[in-house]
Amino acid sequence: MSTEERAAWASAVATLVVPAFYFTRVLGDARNYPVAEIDYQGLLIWNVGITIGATIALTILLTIAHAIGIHVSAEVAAAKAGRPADPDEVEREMKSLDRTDARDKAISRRGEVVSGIVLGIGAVLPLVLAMTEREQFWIAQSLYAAFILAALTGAIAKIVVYRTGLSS
Amino acid sequence: MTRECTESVSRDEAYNWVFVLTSLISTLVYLGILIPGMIGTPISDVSYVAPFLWVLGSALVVGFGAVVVIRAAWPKESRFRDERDKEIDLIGQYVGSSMVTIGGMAALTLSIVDADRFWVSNSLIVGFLFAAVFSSFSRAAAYRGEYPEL
Repeated sequence: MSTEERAAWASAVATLVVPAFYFTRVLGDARNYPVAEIDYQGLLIWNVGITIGATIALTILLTIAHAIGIHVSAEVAAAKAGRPADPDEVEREMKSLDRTDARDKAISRRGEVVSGIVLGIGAVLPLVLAMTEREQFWIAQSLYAAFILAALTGAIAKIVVYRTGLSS
Repeated sequence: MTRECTESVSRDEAYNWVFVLTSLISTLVYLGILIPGMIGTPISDVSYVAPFLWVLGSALVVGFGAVVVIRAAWPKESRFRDERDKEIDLIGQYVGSSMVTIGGMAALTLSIVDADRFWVSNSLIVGFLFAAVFSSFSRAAAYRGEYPEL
């Protein structure tokens, strides 16, 4: 599993979980208060930052877990065969841990195209809201939701391509 | 595939030329109406919704009309999309995505700071228009020359 693939998993989890807190809180407030009085701005900016931070942190954690996994499975395989673990084999596996090849790049771009299409469709709602002079609150929420949906589908598209293979 | 066929214009490339022209003309017409309208008028009074919808509607009608004509006029052999058509299409989508992203980020920022909705709408609109122009131009360039592998 390459760094890009781990990053795709990390991004899928982070964009699914972190923005959920934001939307629960802000949409909850919208039920009880006039939307013009809701201070969502700081929360939104923090949420963007935490989503990015969580993606990076999860990618690092997955990398560490993967590295431990390589060592453990080498030891287990060696113990089963009744011989000491082959350090060269382990080293080779460890080197492949952070390779990024042409396939990773192709998959990454494919994911970005999917996410761009979703963003393009998702941005239509905020555009309509802005053109019809609706509250700024709803324009901002629908735009942020469009970005999150785009990031999520982009990450899922990458994972799917990693699992099923590239076909043009 | 024969040499003659690869040197001629494929159906996808012909469609893309329609996209080049309609997106470029739409952008110029929209900005040509919008920018003079902004001079000497308070921003919140500038009308942009009707011009945008007219431009979008006309572009769609002209574009679909041209596609129908091309579909009927192009030789049968060029109707199948080959690998090259697909790769070039992906390049265009990739370029377009980045324009939509930039426009969306600008709009979200403007919305958060409570800028006039005119600016929010128009960053999205210009993002979409630029996405159309840049994606179709990059496809046209890719068809006529070397292109990076995506």
